[in-house]
Amino acid sequence: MAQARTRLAAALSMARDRVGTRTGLLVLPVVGFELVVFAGALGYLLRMSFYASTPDGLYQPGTWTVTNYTQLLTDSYLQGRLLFSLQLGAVVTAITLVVGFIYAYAAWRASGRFRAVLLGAVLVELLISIVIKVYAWVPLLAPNGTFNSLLVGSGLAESPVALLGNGVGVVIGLVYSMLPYVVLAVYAVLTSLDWSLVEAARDLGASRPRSVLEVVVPQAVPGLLAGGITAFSWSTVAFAAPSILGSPSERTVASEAGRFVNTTFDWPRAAALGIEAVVVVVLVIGLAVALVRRFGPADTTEGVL
Amino acid sequence: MRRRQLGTGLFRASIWLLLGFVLLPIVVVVATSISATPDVVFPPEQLSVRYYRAFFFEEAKWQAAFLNSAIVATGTAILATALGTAGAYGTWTLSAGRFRKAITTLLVLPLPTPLIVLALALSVYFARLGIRGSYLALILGHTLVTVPFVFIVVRAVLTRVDWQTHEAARDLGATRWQAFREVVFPQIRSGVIAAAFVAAILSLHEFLIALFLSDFGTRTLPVLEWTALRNFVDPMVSVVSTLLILAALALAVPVVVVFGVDRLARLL
Repeated sequence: MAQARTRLAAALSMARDRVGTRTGLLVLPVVGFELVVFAGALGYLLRMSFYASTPDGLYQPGTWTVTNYTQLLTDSYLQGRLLFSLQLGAVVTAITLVVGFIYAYAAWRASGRFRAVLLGAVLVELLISIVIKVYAWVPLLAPNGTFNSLLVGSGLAESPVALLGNGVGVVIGLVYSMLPYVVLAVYAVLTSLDWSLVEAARDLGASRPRSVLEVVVPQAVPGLLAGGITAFSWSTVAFAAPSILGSPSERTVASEAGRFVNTTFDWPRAAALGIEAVVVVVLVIGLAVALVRRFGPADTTEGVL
Repeated sequence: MRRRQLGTGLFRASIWLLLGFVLLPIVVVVATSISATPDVVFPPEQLSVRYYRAFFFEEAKWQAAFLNSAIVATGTAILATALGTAGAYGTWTLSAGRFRKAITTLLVLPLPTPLIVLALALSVYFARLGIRGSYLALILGHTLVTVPFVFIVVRAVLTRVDWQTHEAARDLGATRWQAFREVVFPQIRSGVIAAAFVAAILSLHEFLIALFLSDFGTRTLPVLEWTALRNFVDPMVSVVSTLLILAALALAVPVVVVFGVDRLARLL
């Protein structure tokens, strides 16, 4: 096996030599594109966050100031929004990790056709626009909507329960949107896991839930981490779901940054808020990765960060 | 023994419930699009195709948005596929090492970047360059978020190429370009086309970047849906959503044919 792998590596490197390193120049267009569009835009956003803002339009060219950042840190409303955004991200990530793990585990254990159905469903969901995914929950969660008709009709609730225009609706919409990313990340890891390990645990007397919790979950940590990072970094700065399913008290930092860009035209403030959000999210994720590396199963953070 | 059966039964039930959770919103969108009444209720009380008729024959703003979406998705598919395929082939031929790793990282970096930050950054940057609101701005923005997918898909396809055929072609005197065009490309063609379809689907359904970069004349279907939703819930949004979902499914068929559901699930 090892020998075959060395031979394969040798053959591949020979093939590479024959293709020629000059073909490597083909990376230039896309590297140029990333530098001009991606790095250029992010660099300009950073620069924008140091411009002085003016009351009558966009920003003051040629200025350098840190007041956008100092104002952010002292603005209790915006700090409250940031705190809410992080809480929202944490709640959504926690729920999505549990639900996503169960789903991925089921897909892994399912036989051919049912597995294809389970995976196909999340793949289809992955393709659908966030606007559509969020909008679809409106008729389901509305006061006179499907769920409330069922609840009131079956006598479980006396009057319609508020599911829309509050945190409940936003969390449901975001868990729904983030689920495919967690499912696919965990599934990808589970496919390389040996089922006989679980069987061995069961032969030794472990109950079914315990064998999953103690054998499968630790192995799935890299997938849970990758899916959790995606879910957290996206739901913390959610934009569409809070607007359509929530109320003004569910506005995230992304909603506020969008307001600064498109409504009040205070670009330096929008830029500073966007950068603050990224820095905070990256710090939280870095902390999570460090904790998993310290206390989690060994070698599970390979390739992350 | 009975407890275990109960546990298995509960597990099975929860899986069906979760599958329902994933599929229900899609069913809702499709069902409410054929409602006869202007209020969006699920399940609809009366069925009719009147809002489809309105979409295709009456509503000029929806048709304009449809055209915008088609233009942007086509442009994105072409640009992202060209850049991503060349990049994947180029990195494939680079020898493994720091340099290749750095380029690979740069190419997939837009993926984990929060979309709102990309939208904000591109919005102020393109405004400065004077192209915000244009088709070009939308195509560049969508290319940025789709290139990583093209890159990943084509790189996966390249691992299946029989490189000995390339070597044989070179031994027989083919130039690098000839060897690529005549020998390698036929082996990756279906994968490259699949990547282009993936890019088109992602562009058709992308919302946030389109919202920040488009103007009244270039807004795409998801942006117009958003605008419509801010006023009141409208069955037209269900119609457009259904059509967008159908378009995604139709474009996904060749992708699934090339890769299969299981491989795709591990790839993306």
